[in-house]
Amino acid sequence: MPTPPSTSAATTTSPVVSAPSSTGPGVPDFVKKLFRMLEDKSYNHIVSWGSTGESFVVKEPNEFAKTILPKHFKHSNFASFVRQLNKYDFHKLRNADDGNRPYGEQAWEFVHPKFQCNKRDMLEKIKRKTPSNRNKLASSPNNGSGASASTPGNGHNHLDDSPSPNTSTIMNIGPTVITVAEDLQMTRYDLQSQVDALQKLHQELGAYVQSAFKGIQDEIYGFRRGLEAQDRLNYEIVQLMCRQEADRQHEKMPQARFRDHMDSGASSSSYDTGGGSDLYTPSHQAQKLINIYAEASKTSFHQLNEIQRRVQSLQQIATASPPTSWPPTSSPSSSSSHLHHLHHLHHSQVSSMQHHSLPSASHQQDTGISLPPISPRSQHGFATPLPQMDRLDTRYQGITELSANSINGGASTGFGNHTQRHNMYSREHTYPFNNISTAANPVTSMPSPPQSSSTNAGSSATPLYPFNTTSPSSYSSSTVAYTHPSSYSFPSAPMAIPNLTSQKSTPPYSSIALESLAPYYVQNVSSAQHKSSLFLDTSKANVNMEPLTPPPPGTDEISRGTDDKSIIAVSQEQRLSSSSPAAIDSDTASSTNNSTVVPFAASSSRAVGLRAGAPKTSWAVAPRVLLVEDDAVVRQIGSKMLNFFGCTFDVAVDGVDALNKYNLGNYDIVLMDIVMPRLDGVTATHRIRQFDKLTPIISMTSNTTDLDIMTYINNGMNDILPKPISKNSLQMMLEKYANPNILRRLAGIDQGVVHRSLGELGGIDLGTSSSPKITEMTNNSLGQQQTQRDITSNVNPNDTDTIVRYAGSKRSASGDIWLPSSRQNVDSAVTPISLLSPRISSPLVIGPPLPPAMALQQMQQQQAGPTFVSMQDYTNIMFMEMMLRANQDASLETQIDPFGGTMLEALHDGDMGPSGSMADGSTERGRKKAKLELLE
Amino acid sequence: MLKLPQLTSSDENSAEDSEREQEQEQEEDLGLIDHTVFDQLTDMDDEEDHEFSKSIVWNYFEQAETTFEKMDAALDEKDLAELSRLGHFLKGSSAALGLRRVKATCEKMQNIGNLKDEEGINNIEEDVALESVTKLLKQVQEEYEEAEVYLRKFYEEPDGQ
Repeated sequence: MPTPPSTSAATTTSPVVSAPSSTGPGVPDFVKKLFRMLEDKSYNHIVSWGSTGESFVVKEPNEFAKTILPKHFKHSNFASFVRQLNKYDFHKLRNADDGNRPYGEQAWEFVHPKFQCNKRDMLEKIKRKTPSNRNKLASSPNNGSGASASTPGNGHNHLDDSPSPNTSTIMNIGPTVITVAEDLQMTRYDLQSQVDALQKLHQELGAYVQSAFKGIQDEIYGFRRGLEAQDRLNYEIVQLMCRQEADRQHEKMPQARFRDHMDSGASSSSYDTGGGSDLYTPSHQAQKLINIYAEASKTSFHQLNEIQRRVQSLQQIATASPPTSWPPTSSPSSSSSHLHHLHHLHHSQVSSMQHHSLPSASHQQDTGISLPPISPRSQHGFATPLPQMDRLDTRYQGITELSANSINGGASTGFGNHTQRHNMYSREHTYPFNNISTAANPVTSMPSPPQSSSTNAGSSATPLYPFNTTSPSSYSSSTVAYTHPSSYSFPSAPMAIPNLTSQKSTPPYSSIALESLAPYYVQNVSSAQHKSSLFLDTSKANVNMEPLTPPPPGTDEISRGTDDKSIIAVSQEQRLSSSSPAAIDSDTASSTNNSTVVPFAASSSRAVGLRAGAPKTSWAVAPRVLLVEDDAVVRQIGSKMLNFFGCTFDVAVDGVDALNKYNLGNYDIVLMDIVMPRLDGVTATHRIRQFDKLTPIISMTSNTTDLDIMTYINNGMNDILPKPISKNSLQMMLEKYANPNILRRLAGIDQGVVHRSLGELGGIDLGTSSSPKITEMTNNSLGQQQTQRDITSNVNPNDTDTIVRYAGSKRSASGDIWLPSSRQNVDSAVTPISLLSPRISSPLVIGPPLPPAMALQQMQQQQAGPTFVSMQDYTNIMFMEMMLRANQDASLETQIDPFGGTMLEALHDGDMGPSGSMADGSTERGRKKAKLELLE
Repeated sequence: MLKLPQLTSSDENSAEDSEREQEQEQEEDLGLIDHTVFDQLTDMDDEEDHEFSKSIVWNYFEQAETTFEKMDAALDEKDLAELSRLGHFLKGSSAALGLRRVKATCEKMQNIGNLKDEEGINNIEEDVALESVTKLLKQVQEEYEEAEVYLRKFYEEPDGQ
């Protein structure tokens, strides 16, 4: 092959080559490497000189990239190799014209005028191309000489030199295409690497967020634990305080006052909270403690809120890596909403506290009762706890503002709030303290003096209940316990009649018991409030009406666990009631048990609550309702609704009937018509309030002028349920008032039990030490009642008859369970329960003055007329009885075991207390006692 | 299944509010039945029949007729207090069934029986009261009959029952 002299060729043909350079160093590495590679004949099947020696051919690009490129060029990218060739002005030859591919289908043939086989000296003429524009400028003059007239216009300088004219056309396009392709590829690589980097970054970020999230979660956990501990401490402090106060009050408790109270209750129709109310007022010290506590709790709540907000925001950020678990308080299902709710709840709570008025407080203020002076003893008692409180204070100052608000606000606002429309309540009021102390801590109540044993401190309700006290295990699940179906038995025990005597004589204890109760709860505060305001309870009772979650139907009993502590806020608006599946509930319950911060509890309950569709209720234990209504139609509808909500209820056809019924069972709420024959609802309420200041009594009326409402409230009614009753309004009322009261009632139950058993344990003979006093007092009051009012009192066996007749003939069998007069049947009765119930006898003695039972019965029959009990009512009553029986069976087991003979004894003694009025019953009771002992 | 047209539920309104609204509506609309209330009643019925609400409605009929007799008697004796009481009594069950007009008129009777004007605000003389209560008694009985016809029709209608 003739090859032009390298020098001439270089100078004449290649404009790119600026100047000749020395052979050695002047030759670019790439060209040298390329030349060396081609000299190696071992690659000939892959890459070799072209047949003319003026070009070289890559026959197997793949193989070339895989094996040769790494060897000589430290990479395996064929495209890159091509690009480099291009940079040195090599060009790819294409033999497109004739399809002749001498080197194979995949061969790439490259050519450079100065790159020829065995022409090593020419290599130094090969230079890296300068920018392309210069190429073009230089190329145009050369074009003319080129044989390739076909060149589209941007002829390449090297075409002139091309030894093979037939490939020249292709060479024009080739480089451009290659360049573009390579650029694209490079871009792709860049993009790919960027994507990789981004992905990595993202992963790191996610990991970070997750860890951060976890940290926050831990923080929340820790915080909660701290709060729980604090609260427990607080609880103990309050407990101590209460104990002290109780002791003091116990000492102080003048018999005279008791008697006075009794008298006034029996004789005067005017609302006289006189003697009794101050018993409920807390000492200044207590108030202070409570306030501090409330403040602390508020602060902590804020903190929590903050943390949770952070968590929430984090969660939003890290959607890619969402947290697997949420704080225990929230249920997995509704975690995010939970947070939101919590926040919402908080606000609502605060607002509600402010809005809400405590009727009791107003009452107290009205009566002008002053707080009892603190006895030195009690002060002493406080001394130790206080420093601790201070510490707490500094850290958790906030919690209490909340509670403080509730207390103070409640006291100051008075019943004004009550006048607010109940619907207002429903929307605005959430009661942080819904948690009414539920569980009674036996140990705490232990200190209560012997007298207490005789009396059922149980405020209004306080049926015996095997609670924490009885069986720790049950309590351990305490909150959980409610969720259990077995917990259903609660209602039955409460059925026992409230021991009026005890209530009156030892109101402080009741409050104490409440406080001592829920050891785990914040309730301390709320219970403390109990003292300050009798009705506070009910106010607290106004459970969060916040939108909560509804339980699936039939799960009524479910969420009670959380309810206890924080009565689950029910969302009226949603018409849903919150109940949580038992399982979840228990978990949260246990965890929230200790969570003293009310919001927590509330939140937990909230979280726990599932949003189920159906109309459901939030209570775990069906509220026991007394529906007092003279209008049969309204009564029927109300009954139906109560049925619908799963309530246990009695109906009464007028005020007198209501009072009778009221002595028969403890109710969580009373729905009281106002205008009724014989005894109107206001008067009936007033009478009830003389022995039971706590049970919520709701006025059902269409008369809702301010004046009317004032009257209702002034007579001890808690709220208004306007007629016509709607399901929603009814449910709202039930949830607002009944729920808390259930807790209170349950707590009360415990309390009664505790006191008695404690008394026994303490070696105190209840029968001798306390009972006589009470007996004496009750006798006194009884005498007055009888003389002044010509009352035979409930003791009259005929009462039972009345009731039995009212309820239907079947009543008698079960009646002895909770009918006071059933005493006569005791022997045959299957009802150890009635014996167990401490207050079976007492209410009878102290109950409001009632007309003779026979007269009552006749009146009912004569006056009630067409509105007398309907079939519906019969059915309901029977159903209720069935429930009660079932519950008793359940509760018997639990009740008897834990307390054993002690409780029975105590109860028995309590029963004996009012023996003066039922002398004939003592022998029977003795027999019963024997029977009970046998049972054990 | 016969179903009354479902009106808006009174979820958010307290019963009281809705009651007031009803009263206001009534002035303009005089709707015979407040379906919000009545539907609530029928909603509690079993799936199959309206036995529950029907029994209540029938009870109401009975009760209302008895009450009307008493009202007539009380009017004869010019016993305004009794008329007021009876008016209140019938008002309650009427409201419970959503019988708007009957309820409203009963309320007026209740007020007038108390020697107040229909709205229960201003005092009125006894003769005026007697006069207007006579009128109202007639009115309420008419309204009741109207409602009764409606309700009986409702319960006797279809459903294959």
